[in-house]
Amino acid sequence: MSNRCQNILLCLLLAAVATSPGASAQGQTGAGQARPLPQVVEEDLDDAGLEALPANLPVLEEAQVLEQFAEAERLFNSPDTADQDTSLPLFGQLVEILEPQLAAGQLSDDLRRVLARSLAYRAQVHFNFGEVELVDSGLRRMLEIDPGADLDRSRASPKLVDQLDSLRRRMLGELDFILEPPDAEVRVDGRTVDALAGPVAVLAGQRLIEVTLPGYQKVERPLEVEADGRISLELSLERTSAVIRLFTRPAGTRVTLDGAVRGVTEGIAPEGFLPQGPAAVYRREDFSAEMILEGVLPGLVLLEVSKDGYRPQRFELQIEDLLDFPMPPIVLEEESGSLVFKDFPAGAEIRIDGQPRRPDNPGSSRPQLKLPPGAYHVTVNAGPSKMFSTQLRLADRQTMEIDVRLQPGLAFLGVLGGDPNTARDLDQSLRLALGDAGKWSLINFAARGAKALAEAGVSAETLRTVEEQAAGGARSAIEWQRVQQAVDAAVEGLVYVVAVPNNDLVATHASIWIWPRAPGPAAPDRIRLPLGDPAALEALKKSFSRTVHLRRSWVGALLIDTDGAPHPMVVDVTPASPAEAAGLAPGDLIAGVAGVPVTSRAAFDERIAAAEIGEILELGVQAASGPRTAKIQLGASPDLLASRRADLLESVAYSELVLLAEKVAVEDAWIVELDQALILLRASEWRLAASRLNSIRAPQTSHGVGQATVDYLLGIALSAAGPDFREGARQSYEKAAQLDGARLFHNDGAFIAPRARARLKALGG
Amino acid sequence: MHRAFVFSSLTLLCWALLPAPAASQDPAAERLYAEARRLLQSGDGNAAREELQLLVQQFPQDRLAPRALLQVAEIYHALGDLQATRQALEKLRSDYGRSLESAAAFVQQAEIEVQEARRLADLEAARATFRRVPLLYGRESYPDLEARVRARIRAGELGLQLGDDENAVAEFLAAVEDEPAGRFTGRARLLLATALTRCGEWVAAAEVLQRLASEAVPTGGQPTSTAADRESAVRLLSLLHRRLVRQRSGLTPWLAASRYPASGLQLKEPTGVAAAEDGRLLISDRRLKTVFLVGADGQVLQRAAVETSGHPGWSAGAPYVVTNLGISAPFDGLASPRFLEPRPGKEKPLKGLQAAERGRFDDWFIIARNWKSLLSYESSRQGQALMAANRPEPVDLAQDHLRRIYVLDSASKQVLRLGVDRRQVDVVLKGGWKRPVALALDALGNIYVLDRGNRTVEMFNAAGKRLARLGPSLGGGIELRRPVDLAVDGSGRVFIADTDLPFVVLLD
Repeated sequence: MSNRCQNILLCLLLAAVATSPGASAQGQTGAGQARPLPQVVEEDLDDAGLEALPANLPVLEEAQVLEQFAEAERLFNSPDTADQDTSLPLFGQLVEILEPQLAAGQLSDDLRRVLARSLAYRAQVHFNFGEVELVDSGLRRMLEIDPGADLDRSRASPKLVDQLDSLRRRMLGELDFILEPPDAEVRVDGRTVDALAGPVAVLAGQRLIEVTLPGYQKVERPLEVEADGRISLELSLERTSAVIRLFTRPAGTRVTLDGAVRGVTEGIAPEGFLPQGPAAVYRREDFSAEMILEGVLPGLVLLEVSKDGYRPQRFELQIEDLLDFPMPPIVLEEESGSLVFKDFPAGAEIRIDGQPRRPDNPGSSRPQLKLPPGAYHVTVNAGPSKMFSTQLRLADRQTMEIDVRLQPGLAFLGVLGGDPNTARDLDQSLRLALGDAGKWSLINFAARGAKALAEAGVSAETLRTVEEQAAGGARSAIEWQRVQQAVDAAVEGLVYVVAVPNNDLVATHASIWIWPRAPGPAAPDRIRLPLGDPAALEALKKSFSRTVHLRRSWVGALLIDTDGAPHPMVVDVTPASPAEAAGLAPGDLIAGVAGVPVTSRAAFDERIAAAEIGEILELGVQAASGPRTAKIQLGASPDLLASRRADLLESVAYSELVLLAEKVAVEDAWIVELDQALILLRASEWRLAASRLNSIRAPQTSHGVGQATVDYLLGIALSAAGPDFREGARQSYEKAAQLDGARLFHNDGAFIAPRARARLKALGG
Repeated sequence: MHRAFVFSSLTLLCWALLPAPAASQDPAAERLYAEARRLLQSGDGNAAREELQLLVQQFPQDRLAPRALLQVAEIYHALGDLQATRQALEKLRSDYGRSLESAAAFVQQAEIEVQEARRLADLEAARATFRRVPLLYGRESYPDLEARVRARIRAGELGLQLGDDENAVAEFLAAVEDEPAGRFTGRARLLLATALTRCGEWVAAAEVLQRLASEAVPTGGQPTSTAADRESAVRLLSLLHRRLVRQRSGLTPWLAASRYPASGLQLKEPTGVAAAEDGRLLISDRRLKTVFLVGADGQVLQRAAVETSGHPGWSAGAPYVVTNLGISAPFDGLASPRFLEPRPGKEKPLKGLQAAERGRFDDWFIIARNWKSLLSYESSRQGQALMAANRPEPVDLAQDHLRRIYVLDSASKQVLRLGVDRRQVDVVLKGGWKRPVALALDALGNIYVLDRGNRTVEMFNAAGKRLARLGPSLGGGIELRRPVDLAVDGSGRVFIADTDLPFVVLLD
């Protein structure tokens, strides 16, 4: 080998190392990409490097080998002799790569031919370089691998051709096959040969001939082949069974014959395969390669084809004789059912398992959607207050009608933190409980929610820290308004819920954070939920099931419990109230309501709360003048959200008020606004609350809840908003202090005037 | 043993207003803190203090440092070293001014000021300290701070003691309406009702009290009132019922007289009766030489053999009896304080004690036979004779809600009230009694006088107007014979001891 040639080969091997799987990522070449041609570098390598190289040869996919072979062949056939030179290392590399695979018995017939041809081309280049000894060994090796291989005789030197022919005569003999049936497959020493094309060249020596054809008895024949000799071989195969041939759509279909699994179709139908009949709507590539079922005997056979997600098919075949039985292409249809949405709101969006889906008939008032069988989480979204969510299981060929009942959206943002088991259990139990919380549509926004929260800087850790800070009375480190904005932008829903187990290793409880969509207060409610406690879950569910009432029944009397009387005692009666109309007076004891004895104010309240506004109740009265019965017709009082109740989720209540505002009667609109302002007050959103209160126009009533109530709350909001608002607060308190009968919360609630006077004094007014 | 008790109690004091401290950033600091807690629990306060001071010294930036300093202050406080307590609190406020502990330090500082107060001005100063807490630790930065709620309530309480009822209402309102609901809310509502009553807004007060009394105990979450709060609310409502609603309805304050207690306690010669706010009674019987503690339900809880010489009483929820030579707690076995006659230079024990009241500054006001004056004893046993110019013949004492001392003078047949300066004496009312023997006040300021000569009990409002008179026949077959003492409990029930009746008379 010349020095030049040796250098080229070494450089090639180096390049191969650089592109091997063990090499750096920078040097790797993606599958299917054209391999870069090795650069010729005029540089010597030491021997140690040379010896180490073969072990690092790259493993190429068949396609890559063919691609490289084509490139090498192109260079070899180039008129430019420099290109021909460059082809040598490429052929050399192919030989180096493929030989070990051949030795390991892993080489396909195609690659075997590539190897042989590479050897042939390399021998030609060596011949051109005058490296005679390499030419002979190369050609010899070529014939050993593929006795039918040949040189490109139109381009090869006649001398080289002679050299090859000489070798052929010394190494090969010929076999001439006469077969019945003629299309039987012939293998020589396990290698398929084309017996129909004429005499087949084989290596001289002991050879094993195998002839096969589906449905026929296999024939094996050992044979001694002499160099430069020809043997004529006449063989007739015996038919032993019928054969079923089939193609399926799709590939991967399991085929069963008379109950016995015969295999799974694979591959792609060959060129020239043309689907016919009903199968004509599909492409050739949709079908598998041909599957051949041998060993079929005449008679009735049951052929079954099946694949998950597809409807199975059965064929009863009457096999008349020992013949081939080509089946028409078998098409398996996908299993599917249909969802039909009733009462679908115009413009609403359908999501299946969180992914938006266009209906099959867009624009229809009854959209339909075809889906594979399975369990789905279906949501319909027509805005945060109009959402629908359901879990369903759709069967094959089922048409399921869905009544779209739009409800306000309760967006579940998932579980942050916790060990995987805890998180999964908590996620499931919360979704189960909240999904059953009556008036809400629970939508699982875990993925989008977690992303939005993360973007707003909220994680399990930050929430735990905030909880710790809150326990100490310190202000939250989280900017809740930013969080609210982020979540508002990311998901739909009127109320958001996220759960955080208290520990990532061994959690005992979780904190459930709940807040409403803007303009509700951004600061969240937080509920401590012991894990594995069904009662706590039920309580949580109830918190979402409460209804905000704007009105309540009204008596108009202040009753007290005293140890000096066995029944609640009237101590004050509101002018022009139901109590006054019923003739109640201070000192009267209320012994019973509607025939039921009462011994405490709480029991009295319970009876009144159970009665309807306007209902007439009989009261058992013990007056100084003696016992009597009084009939009282319950009045109606505004019913503001009562002073802080442990079971009231203000975030939920606010959202309900948002919904109420859309449909409330004009005369009750101020109650809704006042309730919203109250929630903002409790969330310490002073300025927002003050702004809201400023816009409320409540009735100017001398007794009960009215404008004085608004003024008093406005005074609280303004005095908390800062020194700049002190004068406004003072004026508000002054107005509120003027009406002695004004009340907080409801018409029998706390008296405002003494409160306003005291706050006024504290302000220095 | 006693020491251990002191320390374990005090841990409840400071930590009660604060959450558990955040974990330390340094294991060494955490170890010091844990060791201090262990020492504290074992009762070795000084050793605990040293560990905590070491922590503050070595880890001044640690999250545990302010907590440690607060506990140092509380240990000093428990040990009675007020100077060191103040220093520790001052350091806490100056070095860790934005910490939660510094808010608690303000509260603690104000409590010390109350404890050390000897004049109204001292109480005013303490109230000012309490009022600084909401200003310095507002809701903007500390949304849910119990120390602030506590400070508001204490400022309101001092306002009530100082007679600044409207500002007290405002403080309690802030605690109820402006703060998140918490465990102090019930107490604040109770005090709000008291303050409203003092402002003459008793209907508004009744509304507040009834809402508290009806409050359902939540099944989950933190309760916002205690059972004691709710019971107190019902007692106050009952008082309003007896003293105001009955009057508004045209009824007398008393509807019936009966024997008390109903449990069958047989007395022989009852000579004294004192009622606690919660309805417990202390009854003394001269012939049995025994005092009985009777529960609010009328059951005898305890008895003790004591020879009394005058009117028994209650101070800060604990009963005491007056003996010839001193004042004693009959059921806890503690030594009785002894007093000296208020004669400068002569160390002669005071004898013939008839009645005593503990003042607001931990002082004692005493009536003793042969002394035509009201005797006052501050921290020393050496007393001072007050009202001497009036030459009274005092027979009984009482205090109103402002802790002002009222004296029943059998000579002038008047009820006198000692001024804040301890010099001025106001005549609150003058009665046509023959031999007044006992005086009582209720929480609304009504004054009750027992006249042994006429065998009557009379009730006057705070302005001195007589509202009712009853006796000798009380109804229910009971007639006063030789009445000697009377008492009013927190719900307005009146009790009379009559040496000729083998029971206490209950007027309801």
